[in-house]
Amino acid sequence: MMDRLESRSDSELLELSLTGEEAAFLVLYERLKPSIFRYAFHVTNSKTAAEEVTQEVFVFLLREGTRYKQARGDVAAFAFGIARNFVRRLQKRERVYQELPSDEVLEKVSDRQNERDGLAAQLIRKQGIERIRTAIASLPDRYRQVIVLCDLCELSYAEAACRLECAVGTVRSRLNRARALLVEKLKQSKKPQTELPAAGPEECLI
Amino acid sequence: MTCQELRDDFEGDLRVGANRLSAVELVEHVAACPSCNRFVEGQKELEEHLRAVRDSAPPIPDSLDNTVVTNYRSFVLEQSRLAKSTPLSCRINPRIALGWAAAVAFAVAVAYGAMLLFIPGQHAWVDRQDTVRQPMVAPVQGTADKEAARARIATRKAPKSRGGSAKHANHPVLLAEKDKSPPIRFQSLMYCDQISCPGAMEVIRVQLPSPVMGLTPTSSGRMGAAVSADVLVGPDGIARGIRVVE
Repeated sequence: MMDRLESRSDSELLELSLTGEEAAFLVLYERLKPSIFRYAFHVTNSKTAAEEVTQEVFVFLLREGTRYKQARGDVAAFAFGIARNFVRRLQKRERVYQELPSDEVLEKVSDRQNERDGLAAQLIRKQGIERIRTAIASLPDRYRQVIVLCDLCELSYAEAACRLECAVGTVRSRLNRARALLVEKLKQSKKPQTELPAAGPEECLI
Repeated sequence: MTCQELRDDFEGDLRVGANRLSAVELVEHVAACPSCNRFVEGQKELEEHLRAVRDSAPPIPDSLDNTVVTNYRSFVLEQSRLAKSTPLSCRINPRIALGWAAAVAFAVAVAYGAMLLFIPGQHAWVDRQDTVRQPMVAPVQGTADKEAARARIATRKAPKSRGGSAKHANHPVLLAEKDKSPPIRFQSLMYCDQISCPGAMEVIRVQLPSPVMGLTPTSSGRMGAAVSADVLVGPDGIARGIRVVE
């Protein structure tokens, strides 16, 4: 049964899913889930948000699956378009609220304590990841999208162009520009921070 | 290898570019060119960072799978419930229904047209209806003129044979003889001689209510019954004589 479904295309599986065949839906879900989750995670930097987006994408796919047109692209591209819209909506919604210290920040604090226990290498690695994530998050949206799709989700240029609905050449040039910007940002973050002005004796309370 | 060639090489997939670092030409150029050396170092470092970020993605939790499958099952249940509860009229697409209605109307129109064209009985029925529908009152002056002109045209188009077609014979407007002999049993309504009535006169059959003709209900059979009469109309459109037919 599952083998028979594995050979089906995504669009066929979607059609079967809409008619109520659960096995077809499970095969389609297994195919699309990793890329959608990874994309949502890398763009939002939040596991909870990635879960929420992935869940919403599949709910939307079921409710509005009849709107899918095979001539306009594959189901993965359709699902990615939905995910992209949900991520944007989520980011707009989250912008309203004041940012609270996330789990990762708290983790970093605990990692600083672990450094004393001889886990310096792990901390450095985590700091490096945090630094690059911050750098990616600070990129303009068009550059962030290509970095996430091509370098983090490991899609080909053609696939990324299909997802972003632009030419392959545009993806290539944006990716070059995005990488150059990232290298610049990483260099800046490596530089030692400017020293604080020395406090006068009147400032010292001890 | 030039600096541009080296940068073009890295334009493609970053991992491919990083793997090509082993190429002899590239290594030689990087060793000789400090600018390209910095560029390649930067790209290598970036690739390492990106790999680290890529690998740091958390695994997809099982709770997500369970939630999605639960959502799917509730969706299927909802769909089946909707399909059962929705009446047929709501499930019919209005556009499709409109299309079917138009098609049925067209088919009915075509069938009716074909019936009129190909069923002879229907022709006869229509003709009979036309024949029966005669004016209930005497035509006024203008109407008489029109009738006279129509009769004249019909006279010109009529076949030269004396009998004419059956269709013409059934027509309520009868043409007067061309000769000047006075028609038989006509009651004079107006003075008429060779000078006052120079042209041919026409006979028009009309239906009149019996009181107009001065007939009593007993003589006409029933109250308000119509009486057929032939009216002799001159070329000037004025009635000259009348003859009660029935």
